[in-house]
Amino acid sequence: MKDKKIGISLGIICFILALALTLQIRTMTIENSIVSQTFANDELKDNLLQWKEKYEKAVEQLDESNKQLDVIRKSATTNASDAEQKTSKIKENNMLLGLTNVEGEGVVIELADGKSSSLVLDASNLLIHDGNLREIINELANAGAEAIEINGQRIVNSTYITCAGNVILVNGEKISSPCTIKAIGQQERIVRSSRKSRGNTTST
Amino acid sequence: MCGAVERAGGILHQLKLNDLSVTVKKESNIKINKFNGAITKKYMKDIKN
Repeated sequence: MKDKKIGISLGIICFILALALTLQIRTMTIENSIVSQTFANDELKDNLLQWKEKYEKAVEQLDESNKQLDVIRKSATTNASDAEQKTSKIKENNMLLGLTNVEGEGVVIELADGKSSSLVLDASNLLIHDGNLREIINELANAGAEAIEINGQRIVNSTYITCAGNVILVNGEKISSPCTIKAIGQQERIVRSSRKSRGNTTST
Repeated sequence: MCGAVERAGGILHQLKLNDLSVTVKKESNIKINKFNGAITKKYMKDIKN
């Protein structure tokens, strides 16, 4: 009988212990769950704050980049205008130096050696000489010709016209009769200048 | 004075008197090619102000 009582008591104690243990485990699980949720929330908050900071920094960088872009755009626009002016100046200078092809109104003078005539005492007078061409060039330039060419040779500031035997050298290139002299400029002025007083050149 | 005498009738007139063939034509669209020689820049230098 006594053994039975002891057994029952032990059984009750064991049951109570098992119940307490179960309760304890449950409580622990719930607590752990709450703690882990809190940790997760804190981590998310931290992440959120970090991303916010990153976003703000990125926005600041974007603003700064936009400002720099504006400055570069303004500078590029100014430079483009400068470059355009310089290109136009170079073109103009090249035209004046004779380094570009040009066209315009003007006068074409055809000059050829004369045929032998009994009236001409000196046969040398029947030939075109380098001096004749130099005088014509001077005359044309004096009449305001802006571009001059002799047989395809452009007259520039470094041009020289000399005699070499029976040919004439213009810019070092040999030319001979007939000579075609082209001059771009005011036509009337050039023609008037070439005729001068008592002049009777053939004008067509 | 010498030049004035020589150019009394214009250079083309003088050449014509020498029996050279001279014709002058007015043209509205003359094309002149660019200078095809070399312009050297070996001895000259730009003067910087």
